[in-house]
Amino acid sequence: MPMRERFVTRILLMTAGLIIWAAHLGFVYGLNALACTFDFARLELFGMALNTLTIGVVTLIALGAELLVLSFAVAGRGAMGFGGEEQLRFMGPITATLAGLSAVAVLWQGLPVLVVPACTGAGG
Amino acid sequence: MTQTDNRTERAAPDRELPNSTPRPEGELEELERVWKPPSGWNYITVVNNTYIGVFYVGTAFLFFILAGVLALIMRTQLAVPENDLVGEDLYNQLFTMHGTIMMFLFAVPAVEAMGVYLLPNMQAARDLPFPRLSAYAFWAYFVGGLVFFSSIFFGLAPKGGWFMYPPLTSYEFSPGINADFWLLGIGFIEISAIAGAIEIIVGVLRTRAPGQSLDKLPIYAWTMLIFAGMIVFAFPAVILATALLELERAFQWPFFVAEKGGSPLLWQHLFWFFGHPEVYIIFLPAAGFVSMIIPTVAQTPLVAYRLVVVALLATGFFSFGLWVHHMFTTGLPQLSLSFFSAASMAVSIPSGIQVFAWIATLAAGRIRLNTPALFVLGFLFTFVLGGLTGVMVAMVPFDWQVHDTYFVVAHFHYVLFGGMVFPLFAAFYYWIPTASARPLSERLGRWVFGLIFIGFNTAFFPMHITGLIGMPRRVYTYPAELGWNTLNMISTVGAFMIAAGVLLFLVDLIRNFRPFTNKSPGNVWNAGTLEWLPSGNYQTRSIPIVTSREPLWDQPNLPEDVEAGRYFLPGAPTGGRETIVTSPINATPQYVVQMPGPSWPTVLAAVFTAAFFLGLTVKLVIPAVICGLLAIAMVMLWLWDTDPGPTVDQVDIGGGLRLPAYVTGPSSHSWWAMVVLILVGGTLFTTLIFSYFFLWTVNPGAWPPGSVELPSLGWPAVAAALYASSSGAIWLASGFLKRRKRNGPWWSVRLLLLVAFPLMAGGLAVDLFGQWQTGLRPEEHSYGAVVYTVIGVQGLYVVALTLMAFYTIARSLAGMLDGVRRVTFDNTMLFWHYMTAQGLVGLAVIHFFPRLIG
Ligand code: HEM
Ligand SMILES: [Cu+2]
Repeated sequence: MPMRERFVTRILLMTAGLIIWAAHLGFVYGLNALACTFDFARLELFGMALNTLTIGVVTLIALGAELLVLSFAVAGRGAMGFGGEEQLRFMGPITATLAGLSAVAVLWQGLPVLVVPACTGAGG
Repeated sequence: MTQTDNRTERAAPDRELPNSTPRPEGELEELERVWKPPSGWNYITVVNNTYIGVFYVGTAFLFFILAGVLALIMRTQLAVPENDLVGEDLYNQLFTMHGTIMMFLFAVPAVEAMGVYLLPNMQAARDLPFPRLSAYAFWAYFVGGLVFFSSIFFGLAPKGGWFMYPPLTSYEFSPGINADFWLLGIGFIEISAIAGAIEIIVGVLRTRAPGQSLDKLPIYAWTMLIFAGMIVFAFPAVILATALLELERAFQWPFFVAEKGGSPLLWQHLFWFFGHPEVYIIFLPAAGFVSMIIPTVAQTPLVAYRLVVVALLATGFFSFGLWVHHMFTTGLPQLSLSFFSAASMAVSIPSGIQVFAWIATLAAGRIRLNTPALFVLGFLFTFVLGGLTGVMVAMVPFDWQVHDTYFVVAHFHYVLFGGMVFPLFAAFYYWIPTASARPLSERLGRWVFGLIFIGFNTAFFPMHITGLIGMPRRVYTYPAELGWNTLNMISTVGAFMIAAGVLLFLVDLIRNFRPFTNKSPGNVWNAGTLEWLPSGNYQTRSIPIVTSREPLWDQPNLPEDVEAGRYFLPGAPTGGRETIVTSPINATPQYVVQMPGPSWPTVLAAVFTAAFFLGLTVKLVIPAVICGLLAIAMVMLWLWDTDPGPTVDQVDIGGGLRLPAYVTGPSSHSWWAMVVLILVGGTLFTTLIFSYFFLWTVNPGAWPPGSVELPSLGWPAVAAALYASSSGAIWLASGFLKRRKRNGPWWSVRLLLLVAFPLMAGGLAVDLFGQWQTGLRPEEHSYGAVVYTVIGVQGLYVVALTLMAFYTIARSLAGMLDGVRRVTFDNTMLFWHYMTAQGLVGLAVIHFFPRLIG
């Protein structure tokens, strides 16, 4: 076929924001579950709980990644080198908006770590 | 590319369109002949999406009515206190069956069925790319669903609630086969749903009208694409869950038994990983209906199309982040729960975006208050209310208070009924003119709407209060002195009003619904999308080039030109069923796919598959196995004539565009379907590996449990080498096949397939025996159970591939396999490599992980 559209790459790029969000959720949830099960939630580093610290750092990294996707998309490189055709004018803003939305979602996911204790059971 | 762009800016004089008129004598007749459904008894074997789609929707609606009748019985029982119309045991069966049927046999199939019916019409494809697969999905669902339903008449219906929590549903507390009905019945329906999803993904991405690029795709097609994608990632979790519970029930493999290292929480994780997205899986297509109907009602394009696409994609992802919110009261760490509270807030944003876009569109146009419009407004009202109570339920402390009360029942009916049933009725009234010789009655329609809308709110609004004053859900009766009497009576009256509305709808159907004719009332609402083009069994006479999101509004003369055959592919040049396959982003025509027609083996395969599962349920193992084998044979028969090879070299579809009539490799629709299937398999395996790790966290420090020895590393090494070398043989065979274009000595390919098979089987045997010889047994501990399940899943692939290998060899012996005509081989090859990859990952996890932590 003459027309290579790089469908998979472009769809993955378009949803990159959401994929980062999913990875973040999976990571923080998994980490916290393990920390509580194996009782290393109490370990400390620089006076902060290691668990909390890691979740915080990972959240910052994820946020950074979201902003990176966002700025690429806004700068018109959303499709990163696919030329300036019509479909990119369509997909670019979608990429950016999804990254923005996901950034908010990542932030929401990360914030509770500052206020909620790691392992206290909820229901009891 | 260039051929399709800017071709029809204007109401073109004949010359600018791809084909000239008048069309040759007999062309239309040939098209009609090719697409005509079979007659007489063979009518059952019809595969046209316009027929299967209608059967499918009809069956789903039948289940809505059946589950609705169960609800009426429940509501009658609850109308007055201390009623003894039905006893506790029957009541438990009633709500379990009601919930299960509504969720699994009505909601998901209904929206999937609408997709089968609508998508090809909206995309001006002649059919979905795998017509027999949709027929199979439908018949499997039809037979399996009806038998499942009738289990309630024999007292065999499950009663564990629609989410079937163990240990209540395991062998200890639910002996007998009631729960097995649920597990096998549902597992089976899910498989049919997945078959449909694969069809829909490939259909939306690859069979569109030329020029219908992603930015011009009707929103409904977007929703169905995301819907199907979500099925691919969500349903394997519940299939695994049901399989594990069935293993536990049948063979005492203790996945959920706490004393043996299992955990009931595993079920909850797996179930809700599917169960929460399920709500959105149902809701997205319904939102798609709304996004199609509102622009027509307002006679103006949807506002913020791009933002709506964003919202749909975001919903698809975020909804997976919420599964744990159903587990608020299970003692999970509070921080973990708050991650999910965050996700539930996140998922409300996209819903808000959509509501905004709908209201803005309505405001931008001039609303015509026809019946579809009324149902859409009813939907908006109900759904927003359900969303609000949803926010309340999502707040953690509030959730504890109302957990398991009627407040929750009210909430999820507002979401489910409001979010899905209202749009579905809107869709019925809106699209029936495309399927029937007459539209439904507007006068009756208003009454139907009025009864259902008022009845619904009468029935379910009071339940919020009943819940707040403490009435728990799932109780078969209540004492008179708690002050719940009046509210319950009102709810029951409301329920009967809904029933009256549905009855009136049936009357309307009987009076006006005349499907399967070639007569049509035409574009009655003056809608803008392609499903309103004049059509017959072959869909549209010619396949239009699309330059707008609402082509019927923006491309003057389109219906006339399409019907006159001035666009692409106005006939049936290959002499069989065919449609244009387009590229996934720009919708550039790539090739013409030849599609199979009606076939008995497809229907029989579905019947035997259903019989296989049902036989297993009632423990008739031998007949079940026979049916299973027959089902496999039928599938092979049906597939036999689906890889036609290049019967003609090239097809002239008009406008100087000559397309190949047969394509293999990564751009073929068949390859795409295989990749999606592999994604399903990959998800299933991932959830299984998740279960492995989850069970490890349940048994910290004892993984594997003390008495168990790990096999020495020689075992996995040999197994891995065998798997890998079997894949190597397939890889070699592929190379041989490529070099021999046509008609050569084929023994090398056949021989390699024959060699690959024992290598693969040997890998499995070593894998299995390595564990067995250490004395590890699946019944003793969850560790053994999950290890043998990983191997067992691998075994399923080995069996499937064995069949595929011999099928491929048979094709080769029959002279139906060569360097060009190799789709069958490619499918086997892709699946094979996947099997190897999965085997290697499984070995690595099982053998290295315990050593890593030990
Ligand atoms: C036709 C009108 C309907 C009525 C009158 C109705 C009524 C009821 C009643 C009385 C219950 C049992 C409450 C209890 O005892 O705890 C119930 C449960 C349920 N309903 Fe409906 N319902 C209707 C439609 C639907 C629809 C359209 C859906 C989904 C698409 C649905 C899904 C469910 C589910 C999932 C349950 C929970 C079952 C369980 O507790 O396991 N219902 N409904
Ligand atoms: Cu949920």
